[in-house]
This record gives sequence, C-alpha cells and structure tokens, in this order.
Amino acid sequence: MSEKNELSDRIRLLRSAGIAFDDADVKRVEQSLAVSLAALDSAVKGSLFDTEPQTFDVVLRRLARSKADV
Amino acid sequence: MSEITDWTLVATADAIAAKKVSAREVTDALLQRIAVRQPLLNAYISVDPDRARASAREADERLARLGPSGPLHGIPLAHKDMFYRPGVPVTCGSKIRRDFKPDILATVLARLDAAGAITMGALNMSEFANGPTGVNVHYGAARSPWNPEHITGGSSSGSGSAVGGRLAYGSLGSDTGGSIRLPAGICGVYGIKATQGRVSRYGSMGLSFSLDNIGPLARTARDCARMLGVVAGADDDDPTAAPVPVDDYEAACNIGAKGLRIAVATNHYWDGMDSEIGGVLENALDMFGKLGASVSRRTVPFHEELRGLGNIVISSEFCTLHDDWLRNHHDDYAPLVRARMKQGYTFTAVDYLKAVQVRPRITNAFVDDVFGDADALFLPVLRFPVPKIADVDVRDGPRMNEILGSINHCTWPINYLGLPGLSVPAGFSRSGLPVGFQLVGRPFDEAMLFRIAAAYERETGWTERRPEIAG
Repeated sequence: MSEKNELSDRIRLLRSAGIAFDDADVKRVEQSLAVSLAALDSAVKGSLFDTEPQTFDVVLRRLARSKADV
Repeated sequence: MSEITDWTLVATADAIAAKKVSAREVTDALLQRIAVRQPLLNAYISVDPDRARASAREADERLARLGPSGPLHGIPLAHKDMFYRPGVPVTCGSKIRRDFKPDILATVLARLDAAGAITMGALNMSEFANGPTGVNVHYGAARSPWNPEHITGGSSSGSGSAVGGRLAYGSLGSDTGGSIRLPAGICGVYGIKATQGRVSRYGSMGLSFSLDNIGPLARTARDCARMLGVVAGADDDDPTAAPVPVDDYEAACNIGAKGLRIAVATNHYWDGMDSEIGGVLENALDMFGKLGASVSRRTVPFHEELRGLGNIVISSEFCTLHDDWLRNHHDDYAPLVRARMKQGYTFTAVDYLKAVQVRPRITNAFVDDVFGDADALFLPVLRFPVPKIADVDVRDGPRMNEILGSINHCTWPINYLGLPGLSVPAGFSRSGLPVGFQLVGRPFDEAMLFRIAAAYERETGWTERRPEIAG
C-alpha cells in the first residue's frame, strides 16, 4: 500500500507542476514504477556514501585493457 | 548471374573499385528496386534519386581520376531518419520534426561520405526512436521483407526492412534498448550495438544520452564489420566517443571460432522460450561445437535488476529531452510514445542518480562474472516467432508495457551494461521468418563478435537466402 501512496504523491506533484496525467497514464506507470524501484532497491544495497564518482566510461576502458592482458 | 542488388556490400565495393560495374549502374539498379518494393515495405520515409544519381556520377568520375576514396566507394546506403546533414530534412519519425532542417553534419555521415558512400534517402523508424515494434502512426509501419504482415522490429524499422529487402546495402540505426539488434534479428540481417562510446553521436538525434548507440545494419558479418570500422572511433565533436583504438573488424572475420568459449545464458533470456525458436537456437549452438568452439550453459547475474535500472535511466533522460514539447505539443506525439515518456516523470532525481551511480559497479561485476571464462555470451533476440503488425499495434492500451517489454526482453539489459551486442541471423522458422541470436562481448571487443559470427555464417549460409516476398 505504501507503494501506491508513493505513486499517488508523485502523480499529485506532477499534476501540480502542469504535467497531464489521466487515470490511464497512472495505471500504466503503476507497474513500471514498482518494478523499477524494486530493481533499484535490489541493486543499491545500503549506503552509496562511499562510492566512487560516476566513471562509467573509465570502467569500460579498464575492462577493455584487462582483455588485452589475458 | 545474380542481380546487382543481391550482391553484398563488400562484393559490390570490390566490383566498383575494380571497375567491373559503375556506381551509377549500382545506384540505378537499387532505385529501380526501391520504386517497385517501397509500396510493399514502406522502408523509406523519403527517397532522393537526384542526389543519389549525382553522388554516383561524382563517385565514378573520382574513381576514374584518383581511384576509390575509401572502403565504401560508390556504395548506396540509407539511414534511419535521425542523422543530421545541413539543409536536408530529418523527421526523427515524428510529426513534431516533420519540417526540421539541421545545420550540422553528423560525424557518422561525414565518415561515410569520406569513405565514398552514397545516400539514397531517409529510412522509416519508430517515432523519436521510441518503440521496439516498428509501428509508426505518422509514417505507417515499416514491413518485414520476409512477410509484410509481420513487424520489422524497431526502432530502426526501415533499416531492417531496407537492408533485409535489398533496398540498401547497409544502414545506420540507433540502439537504446535493442533498436538495432531487434530489427536486424527480425529481418534476417546483422546489426551491432557497439560498446557505449565506440561510435560518435554528434549530429544524431538523442533519446537517452547514457544509453544511445549508433551502429550499422548490413547483410553479412563482413559488410557490417566494414561499416563499423568506418564510423567507429574518437571524435573531437563528441566527448563521449571513447579514445580507444579501432580494431580491424574485417580481418577478425577471417580467423574462425576454433578454441573460443561461448557462454549461453540459461536464465531470464530463455524464460518462456517458444519450442520452435529454441530449436533453431539449439541448432546454432550445435554448429559452434562443429566449428571447434566450446559451449557452456550458465546463469548470468543481475537480470532482475537490469530492466528496472535501464527503465529509470531511459525514461528519465527521454523525458528530459522532450519535456518542453510534451507540454507544448502534447497531441503531436503518438499516444504510445507519450505514454512511455510520462513514465519518466514519476522517477525522482535521486532514483535516477542512484541508477546512474551503480552502473559502473554492476557492469564491472557482470564482466568479471561472465567473461572470466568466456569469450562471448550467447542470447536470443526474440523468444517467440515474429509477431504480426496487427498483434502488436497496442497504441497506449492496457497491454502496452507487457507487449513492448516482451519484444525487447533479451536486448534491453545490454544497453545499461554498455557492452557490445551483435545480432546474427541464426536461421528461419517453418513459416519462413528469420530467427536471430545475439553475441555479447567484453567492452570494445567487437572484433571477437565478428570473428564468431563470420565463422557461423560461412558454415550456414543463411545470409544467402533471398526474401521471396520482396522479390
């Protein structure tokens, strides 16, 4: 139920900001939001306080270099 | 002798360079074929015969004076209608940009121009590259060259239809959740989403700046390798284009697959697999054994998380790019596109930044886990037979997310990971529609994917089959 409340809060905020959201829109986003937030909960374990800056391109290049070392 | 339009891109380029055929003859043959097949396939949004013929004439004159300008000299290509060329209209498959004329030149087009390629026109696509079916309410659905009642896949729908239907020798598409690999697999051609950052995006329409990739679709592994080799590499105009040397992808096509290790993901990607499609994929795996590669079956991590994380990133970024138009041109979007976009508004900044922040960690862990003892990961493209257009034209109905999610189920996770994925023609279903598989590799290891795909192609010959329906 808390998820439903959270979605309702978000939709209310969006409508107040002038974004058109009818009931069909709400129904569609309900499931995708729930699935996405569950994925986020699963992927983000605990605090992100001690994580590195966002360095995705560097990570990709490092992984490529390690290939050359094999 | 087969028709010119049946020749591969590489064979045609070789024939032009050797002056066995002129660029003008090739272009005219293709224009004739487009005139007959376009009403059936709806692959093109616009064809520009005058420009194509003028470019072909210039190519022939240059060849006579100076020799070929590059590896695509005189080759007619056509691209998804989202790459900018000064003064040339680019619709992005939309009503909103129907009359837009850019004033910059996309880096990928500049590189194809320098390599000698000719542009035939602009290809159909899902509106703003959003949608995996190829249905477009503004320009009509592009149709499968193998059976026009069926979808091409999207969002590079015209690219799949045109290359599969022999209406272009190759095409650039874009891939944010499968938009190159799906139409390639569904239309029986190759298509590569390279490593994130491998290909410059300067001058290309954006959907999601973290996950967008530009890449080629072409009829054979070698054709696709040649096109990627031309467009890949660092770009001063695009700081996100990686400063990593470009491998010789064509040379990789000659090496063979002996001794390579192919991992097959048994979880998630095979859930609910149709028995006939599964059978075609099993035959492909058997072939790898005959080629001297080892095949191991294993589960792969993060499948539960990747769809949701990718959805947060794509939806938020798509929404960001379209926010102004969504408020001021609300009714100019197709209902499906508008509905998908609105999902982005429901995520908070913290949701989005968390999804971005954990991305390096997840990719690192995925690569360590999967590629520690494998050279490539084998995945399906679709888990079921290619649907009919009528069956997936869901608009913004209640089954929208379910239908669209089932189509990009196997391609979507790879974009969040940033890894290269090559769609390979695996064979055909009993109804004569193509079946495809994906090869996924380490970052910047596109050469390995071409190496495996080309070995498979040589043994199976699937790319020699002609779509009879498209004549």
